[in-house]
Amino acid sequence: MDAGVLQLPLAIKLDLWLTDQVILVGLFALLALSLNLINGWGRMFSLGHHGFYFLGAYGAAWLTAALPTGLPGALVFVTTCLFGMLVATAGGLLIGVPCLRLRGDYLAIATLGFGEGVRLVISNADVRVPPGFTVPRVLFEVNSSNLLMYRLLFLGIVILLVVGVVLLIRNYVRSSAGRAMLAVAQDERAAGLLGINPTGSKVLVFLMGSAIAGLAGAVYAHYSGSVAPKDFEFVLMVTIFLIVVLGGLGSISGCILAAFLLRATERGLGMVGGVVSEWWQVEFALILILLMIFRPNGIFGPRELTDVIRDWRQRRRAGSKA
Amino acid sequence: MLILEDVDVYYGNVQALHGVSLRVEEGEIVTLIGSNGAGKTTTLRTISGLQSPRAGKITFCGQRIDGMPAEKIVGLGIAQSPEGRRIFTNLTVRENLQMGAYLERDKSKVRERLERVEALFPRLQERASQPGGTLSGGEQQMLAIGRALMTGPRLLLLDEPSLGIAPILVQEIFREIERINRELGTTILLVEQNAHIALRLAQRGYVLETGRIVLEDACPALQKNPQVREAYLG
Ligand SMILES: Nc1ncnc2c1ncn2[C@@H]1O[C@H](COP(=O)(O)OP(=O)(O)O)[C@@H](O)[C@H]1O
Ligand SMILES: [Mg+2]
Repeated sequence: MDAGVLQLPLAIKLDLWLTDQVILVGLFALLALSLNLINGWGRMFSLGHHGFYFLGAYGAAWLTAALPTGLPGALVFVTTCLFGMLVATAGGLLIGVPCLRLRGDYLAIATLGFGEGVRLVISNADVRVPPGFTVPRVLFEVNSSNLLMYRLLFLGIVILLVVGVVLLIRNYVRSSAGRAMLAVAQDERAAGLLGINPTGSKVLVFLMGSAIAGLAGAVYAHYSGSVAPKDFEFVLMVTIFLIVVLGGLGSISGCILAAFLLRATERGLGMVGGVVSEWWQVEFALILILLMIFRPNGIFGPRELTDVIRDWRQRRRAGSKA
Repeated sequence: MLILEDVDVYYGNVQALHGVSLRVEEGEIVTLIGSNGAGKTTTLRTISGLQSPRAGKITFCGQRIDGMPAEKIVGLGIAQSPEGRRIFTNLTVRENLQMGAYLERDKSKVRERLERVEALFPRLQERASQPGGTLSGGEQQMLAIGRALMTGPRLLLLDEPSLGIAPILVQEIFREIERINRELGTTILLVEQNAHIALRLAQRGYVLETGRIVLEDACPALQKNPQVREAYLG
């Protein structure tokens, strides 16, 4: 496949590269939105999101390989994605239920241990060299002539998922259960006095976040065609976390914008840095420091892009009157 | 309606309540007074299920409630407006109130309660779409009481509604507390450090000192009691 791609015209190569970048940004946006549900709206400090992504990817990859061949591709795709989601949710249940009963920072430590542990255990149990799965292409057979079609298809899927998750979060935050989540996030005891079960509310949010991360992992597995433990290391968690902090805890549009920005600067630095692939460490440190100084609440804080534009217009109108 | 019998409560190894017994009858306003640190808040927290007693018994309308989780106890009809108000600052005033009706699935009942609460505290209606955090202390207290009323309680526990509030608003709030009792028929257990105003409003009172009930009487008698006059009305 690679040799074929090399001979393609430049314009097509650019298209291929661009779709690939946007798909990755979309996957990061999904991960960041789902982590934001937990860390931002839910105010629970989770550091294990890469573990749920991993479980979703491995779950989907395993089932795809295990299913008999000859089934309709779309059916296999949907089933395995749902399965990946289920595995990640089960992981969320396993770590979330015992930890969310406790208060404070146990969750951060336990989820960190979970995210790292689940990858280490599975990659150590994996006897293949190098460890990992090749995921059979189920939607259609890919070659250099239809690679762009394939990527465009995934671009569509990822965009659809991002839109779906954005709508889900917006509606959830405005629902009675979502407001209960916000109440619990601010004051568990006061919420309990109104008949809200704080643990139940937190577990629900945590599971929603794990499920979305698992779904993103499953789509990634199908898109990349292979999954390996090295794709799910802690740096991934750091990246997702940085997007959430950059975008603002509790901001949907901030999250999506930050996913774009981080990917763009990372690519940019990658080009400047050339062979030095460790540039991301410098970049992350720099972004965090600048963020602390200039925008400690993220780009928009907990608000949305639309709020910021509305305020800006109002201020401009007020300014022109004066 | 509510009976506490020999309730002991601990924070870790420190005992905060020593054999507290008290009762509240349907329709009454009962007050629990005592100085700072006496255990008033602990008593209310224990009734609401935020704290489990190590010994003793709590019954509400004949049903044992000690050891039940807070969210169950609300469902039985006990609401609390907590000390320090603890409103949700990032939700609007209206959303804070709606949060109180979280367990009520019947939309028309929720609307009815909302109308009643907003009639009681018109300021809450004027400020309906403001974030709760932008209200003044007195308005936040009204919101905390309103939010508790939204649960549709038979018994309302109020923890120091006068704390840190301008005297004019204290007057207004206590008038509304009386109306809640008279017009809605809600039974009230009022915790106060401000004994003057509490003994004027309530029919009966208990005095709590370092975790023990030391006095219990009708309020007019408590107001005349030399011990009470010296310690709490001086
Ligand atoms: N969360 C807590 N942990 C440990 N001790 C507490 C806690 N809350 C209250 N106490 C102690 O319990 C006693 C009673 O406190 P509290 O019920 O708040 O009194 P009051 O409401 O009458 O001022 C005090 O000695 C206080 O220091
Ligand atoms: Mg107190």
